[in-house]
Amino acid sequence: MELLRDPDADLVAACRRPESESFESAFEQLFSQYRERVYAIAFRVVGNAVDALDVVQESFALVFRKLHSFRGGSLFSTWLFRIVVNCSIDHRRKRDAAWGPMSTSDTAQDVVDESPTPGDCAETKEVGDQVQAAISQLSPKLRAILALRYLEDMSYEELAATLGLSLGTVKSRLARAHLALESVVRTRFPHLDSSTAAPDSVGGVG
Amino acid sequence: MLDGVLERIIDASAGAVAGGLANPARPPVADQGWPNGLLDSPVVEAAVTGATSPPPGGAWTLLRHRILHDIGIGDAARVRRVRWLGLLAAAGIVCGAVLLANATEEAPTITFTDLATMPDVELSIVRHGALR
Repeated sequence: MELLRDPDADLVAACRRPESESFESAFEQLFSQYRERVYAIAFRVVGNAVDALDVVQESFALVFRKLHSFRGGSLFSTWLFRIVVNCSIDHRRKRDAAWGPMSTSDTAQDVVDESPTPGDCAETKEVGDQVQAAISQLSPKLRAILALRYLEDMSYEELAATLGLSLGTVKSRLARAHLALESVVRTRFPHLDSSTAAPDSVGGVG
Repeated sequence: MLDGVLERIIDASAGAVAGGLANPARPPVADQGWPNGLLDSPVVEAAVTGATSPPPGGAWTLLRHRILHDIGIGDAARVRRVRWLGLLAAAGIVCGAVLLANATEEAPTITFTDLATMPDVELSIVRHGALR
């Protein structure tokens, strides 16, 4: 079997030497390349922009601190997303333990978007809030697997590698996530069904 | 809490027969016969990839600084930049001093003498003849 070369291998190698001149450039490239995807996954798991940005910071800091222990057994992106998912779930658990589970109205209030919102933008934001509210009904693990599956378009094998699960567990968890979210969407947010909530109509991150 | 426990039980039993009892979405054999509808859902895809709130403007720059600070690179980078600026300044001073030294000419020596004939030297100004 031919092993594919990690497209980020050179940047990762440069980032392993913080004292070198190439570090900052490599860091900048990796950060710019992945920040929005990391943010989108974190947002879907933790449920609001402020916490999602905290998770982005924690995840990247952890990645660069632990980079010496990354042996290249998987793609850098797989390793990164695994850390992001773990940080997101931990963050969510800590917050829920400290403040209690976030309610739907809290989710909407915590979303940081203070720019002026004309009518159509307000409608889009409302749809986005409702989508997030629907997703927030799920457990962090189910949210994480859905985010990786649809935001990152990961295959079942990639999901298994990223989450450190067997293929059977991935399929089981994915099926449970689908059933749970479809149930929430169809009962509480029927207008978010596929006919009205097509991705192109509401935009998105990542 | 109970949801989390149930989830762990279902995950742990995903490969076992008992998992099928706990999880109604799970078919008898883990990797075979999964209905596509259970693994790919347009409704769920539309919801997950739908609108998310973008980070506020300037958030990435601030975040970048925080991450570098978290991993202790921010200070090191600043020290390295200061060191480079110091080296550049020192090099500039040395170059300036060398150029200044080269540009300084020795003061010309003026010798007055009577000349009967034109001297065989290059002079910018030659005064030939008796002084007035």
